[in-house]
Amino acid sequence: MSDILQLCVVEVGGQGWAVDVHRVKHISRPTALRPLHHGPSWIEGVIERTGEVIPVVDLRRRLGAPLAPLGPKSRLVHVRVEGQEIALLVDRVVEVLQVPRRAVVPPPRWLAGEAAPFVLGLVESEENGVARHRFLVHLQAVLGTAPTASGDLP
Amino acid sequence: MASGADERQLRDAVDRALERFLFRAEEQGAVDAVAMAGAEDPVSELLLFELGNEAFALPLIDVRELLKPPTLTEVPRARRAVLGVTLLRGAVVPVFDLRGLLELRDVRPPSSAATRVVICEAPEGRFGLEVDRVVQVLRVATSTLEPPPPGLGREGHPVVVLGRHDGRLYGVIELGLLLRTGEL
Repeated sequence: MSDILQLCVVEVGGQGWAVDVHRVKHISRPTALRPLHHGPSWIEGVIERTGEVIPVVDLRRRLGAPLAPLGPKSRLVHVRVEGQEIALLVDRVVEVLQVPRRAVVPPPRWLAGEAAPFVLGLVESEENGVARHRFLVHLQAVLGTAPTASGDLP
Repeated sequence: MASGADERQLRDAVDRALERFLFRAEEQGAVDAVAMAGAEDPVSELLLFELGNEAFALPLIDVRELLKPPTLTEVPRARRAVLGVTLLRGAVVPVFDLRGLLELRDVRPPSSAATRVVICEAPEGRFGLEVDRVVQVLRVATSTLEPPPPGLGREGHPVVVLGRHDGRLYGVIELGLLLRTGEL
């Protein structure tokens, strides 16, 4: 594995969350969803893109963040995970960031609260003298396909 | 102040987490379902109809008749999705609110000129499904009907495959599963 990680950082409920930039297929403005009745509750609906049916996950709802009304910066970030494309609704796309591998640490359980099952790691950095942290998103957990480990926070 | 062993454990934990975090091209190995047009491509005939803004379809082979909304006799103790019963050529046929059977969130609108009751036949017998508007009959290559994206299907839900027509998605209903949904 490479020593440098390239992260796409999004903001959800005021907190920075990152995915591997190589997973990002597309970024778009949110459009009307077709409701999906036969799916888990965290799938808000589906959209179509290039002829494919893409499930939409409201990452704010999934991560337990406050649901602000959609604004001009709201975006759908289309990511590839487990062989399929899903679209994540976020409050805004912040940046693409390069961090060294050693900047990733396991997250302290208390830090993420309700979102703890969706955090794979923590990236700490210091910018302009201010300590910042961003969570690495556990996309398989967002999709409900991660095996649950014992001792997970409820 | 982590000792060497602690440090190694920590890095191992991070490595395992990064294995899941990072994209690997192998993940894309799943082959997209592509309609393979063969010499013998089975065809499905479907009745396309609407409930509100959503489109659904039933296999035509299960459909017996299309009626304008008939006079219904209420059945107070029946399950909630039962609108009533009607007499159809001497037989008592229940008529259901299809929204109720599909557990859709929107409310049944008042009857309009387009409202229809689709009389279906299943092993359980004949029954009617009230729909807002019947659109048309479709003939589609069965191979073009796609299951819902992986991880999204819910066991036993009556919409088993999705089709596309005129740029819209529609859900194909399996009658056998339809009558088993909701309250008994």
